[in-house]
Amino acid sequence: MKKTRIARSFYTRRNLPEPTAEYWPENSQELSDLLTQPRDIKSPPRVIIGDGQQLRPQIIANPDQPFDVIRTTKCTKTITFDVQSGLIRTESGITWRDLQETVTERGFSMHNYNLYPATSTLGGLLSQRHLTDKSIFYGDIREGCVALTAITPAHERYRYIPAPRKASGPDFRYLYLGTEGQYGAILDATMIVTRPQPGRLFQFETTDLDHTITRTRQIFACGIRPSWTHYEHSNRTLSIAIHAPEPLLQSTEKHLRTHVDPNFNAFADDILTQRRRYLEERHPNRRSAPSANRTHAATFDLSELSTQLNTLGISSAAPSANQPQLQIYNWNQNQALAYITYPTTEIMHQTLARFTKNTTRDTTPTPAWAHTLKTQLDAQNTLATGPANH
Amino acid sequence: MTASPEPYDSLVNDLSKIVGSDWVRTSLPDRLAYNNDCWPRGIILTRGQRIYENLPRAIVQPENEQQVQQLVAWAKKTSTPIIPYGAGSGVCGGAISDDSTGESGVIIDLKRLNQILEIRPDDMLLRAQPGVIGMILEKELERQNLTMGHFPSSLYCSSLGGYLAARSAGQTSSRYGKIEDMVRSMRVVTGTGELLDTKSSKIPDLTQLFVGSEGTLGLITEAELRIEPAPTHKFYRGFRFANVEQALHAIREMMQTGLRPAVVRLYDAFDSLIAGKPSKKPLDHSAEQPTPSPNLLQRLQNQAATILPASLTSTFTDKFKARVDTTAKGLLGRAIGQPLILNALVDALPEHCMLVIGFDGTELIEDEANFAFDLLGRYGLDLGPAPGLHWLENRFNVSYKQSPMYDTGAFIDTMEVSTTWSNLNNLYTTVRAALSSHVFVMAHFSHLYTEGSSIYFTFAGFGNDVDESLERYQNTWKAGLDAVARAGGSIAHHHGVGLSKAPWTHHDHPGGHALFTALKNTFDPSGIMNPGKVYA
Repeated sequence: MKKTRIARSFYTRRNLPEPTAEYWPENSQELSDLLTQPRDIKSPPRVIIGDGQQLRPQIIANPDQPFDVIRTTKCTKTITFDVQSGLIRTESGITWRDLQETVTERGFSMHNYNLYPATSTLGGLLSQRHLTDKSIFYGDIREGCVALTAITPAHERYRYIPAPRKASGPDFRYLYLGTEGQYGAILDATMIVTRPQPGRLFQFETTDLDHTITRTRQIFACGIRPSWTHYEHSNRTLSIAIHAPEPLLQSTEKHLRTHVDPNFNAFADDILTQRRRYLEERHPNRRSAPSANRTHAATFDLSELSTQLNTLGISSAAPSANQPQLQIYNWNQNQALAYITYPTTEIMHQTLARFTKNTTRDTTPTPAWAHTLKTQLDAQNTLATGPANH
Repeated sequence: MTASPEPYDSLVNDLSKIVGSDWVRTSLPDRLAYNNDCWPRGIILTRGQRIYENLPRAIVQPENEQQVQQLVAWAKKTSTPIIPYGAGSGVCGGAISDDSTGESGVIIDLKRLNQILEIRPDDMLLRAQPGVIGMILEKELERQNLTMGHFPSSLYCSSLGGYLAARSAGQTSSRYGKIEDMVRSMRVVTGTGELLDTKSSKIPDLTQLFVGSEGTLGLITEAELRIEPAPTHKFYRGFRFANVEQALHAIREMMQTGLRPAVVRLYDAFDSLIAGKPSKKPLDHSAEQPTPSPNLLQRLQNQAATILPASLTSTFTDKFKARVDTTAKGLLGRAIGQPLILNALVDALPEHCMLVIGFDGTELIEDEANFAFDLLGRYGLDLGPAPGLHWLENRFNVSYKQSPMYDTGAFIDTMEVSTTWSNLNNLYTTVRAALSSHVFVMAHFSHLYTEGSSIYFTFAGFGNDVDESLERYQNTWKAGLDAVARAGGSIAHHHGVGLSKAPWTHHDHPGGHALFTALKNTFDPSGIMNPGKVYA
């Protein structure tokens, strides 16, 4: 499974340093072995990569130190499909698009999930550093992960058994969810799938950003539960996707026209599906996107969203072509995830340098407990990511 | 059994320097008041006058976060175990000093940290301290047309810190989620004495690692939680089904269609039977309807009372009524002492079962509720709104009236487990069979999700004396949780682990003990934080 000839373009496209070797495990057992089998202490530490969407140069390794890469994209096996419970258990290297198609082939759907990059792997999506809080019933991928199996270099395999919402101590899944592979690898995950329901895409045109925020609050105050949301600032269009039995879709549309806006556009399921594919294929979180190096992502509470975005160079009115562009994903009634794409990397860095309030994570010294925890779980630094390597 | 040694003067002096002498309690009555939370095992011990087990050395009541930090630093320096205590409503012994660890600890009672610090409707968030009582918090939110949506049956006697420490669930969890879904961040004083704001760490998400850690990693001093608009519309109904399997099939279809009721409670055959007699006019909503009472003791006592002719009971003096009541309870206790016979009788009952379902929300929720009622009506009999509304009116009656049952030598406890839909019937039958030879057992299904459900077993047992009661109690739990593990369910859905379930935690987390040890070594290297809890 070791491959010495490196696919250089993969790293170049993502502006990442090149590894000394790549490993391509065929299944989750081989992936597990790569982290737990004894290795030469002098051999380079390893980085687990799905499609590399979430990687940033500063987390991959000490730039001066060599590292190896474990590519998980061959680990795609569906382990179980529990039709009655609506659960699929699959290896973590499957891409988001392939997972959706696998589920669709079996008569189920993942249309209630947030928008994620199509080529991301399931393991990558689960282990990426999450910018938003976990929220219930809004399609967060953490919310849909009912169980997982993971491995840390220093310990035996861990399994969180599939049972809804336990109260049996700390939720150890969170040593793997959102931790960028610092402590180990997610080998497989059990995800909620849903029975397909009719969908409707509601598109609201707003006058400016403040109007959009007001509109969003009104929509959530109605008590609707969107499958996903998206806002494009350039055309001031707020999209809300809803899946529900047809009578409920109709009553929701009627309610929104009466209480929120009589003039929004409503599109049927096929348009909704197309729009989802479009947005997921062009998701700004893709590391391989041409604009990745000039895109900044940040989450803000709704009450400060407008002010903070303004500080980041976004005016309330729609931007011109040479101004920073804004897209917002994952609205809920608490917060929103903003992606700001700047005309150049220089402008982005200059703007961010002025804006420090919400970027403290990368500038604050790593706390002592983080080093201790890393040592506890990966004493030999088998994994290159983590505080010891920052 | 003898009393623990009196607290050392130096301990009192040290603690008084931190919180003031008025807030350090070392008298025997005070220590007795804290030798148990609501763990039924502790109640059995108390009723059997075994009051010196699990006595803490002292109780200390800090006023603020700085004092909590100083207390942890003191405990670390003196290697003294410390146990966080909120309102003491936990039922698993999570807030008691564990004698088996070899040294009695100091209770850190967080009741004085009871402020609601901030409510932000613009962001739908609140900040509060751990000692605030659930009902007080909800009342304050209600004044602003908001809700947290967290309504455990212990709402009047439980605290926010306790909810967070034990991963609590309220009765409306199917809509609002459990407390771990609501919490956004916490401030925690870890066993190293460090004050952490989990908001500042996204790698790892410390919030989800500290929620449910039951004070074994740190003491919660503040939390930020999501809130919701208070519901303006409520639609509640009752349904009767031919059997549990049919009812669960209907409920599963409803949940997997994406509908989100606030309340779903399916009572098994016996639970449904004693909830009320099925009406012969089920579609006449004005007629008397079965009305599920949430209180097991009340329900059992009502059954016992039916033995006596009504004409007699109406002429009793209060004193005589009390004697009859005592006798009835005694008979009831003796009857519970024959669990195999009682459970066999229940098995022979008609299989009818009752569902209480409710939808909360804005006016939009009416359509969703009606859609759900139509769906459920295809499988069961619509009993109209009365059963649901009756449940709604009585839903907090459960947690305060159990102790008289213990006077008879009987004990009552609950076991809340969970699993996926495909395993639900297996878990139900396996656990019920395992418990049946030890205790009288009934169950309801509540806290339902798209992927599965919890099962809430209620059981009553009897022993001729305290030793026999304890033995039966221990054997019951062992049989029950062994069965849960065997059937692949989770040992705890919302009561936490505490002392009572600690030997079984590894079943929920195969390979998890090493991870827990890693967290302990990181956040509590001195091992002072609530030792003996969560993992045994």
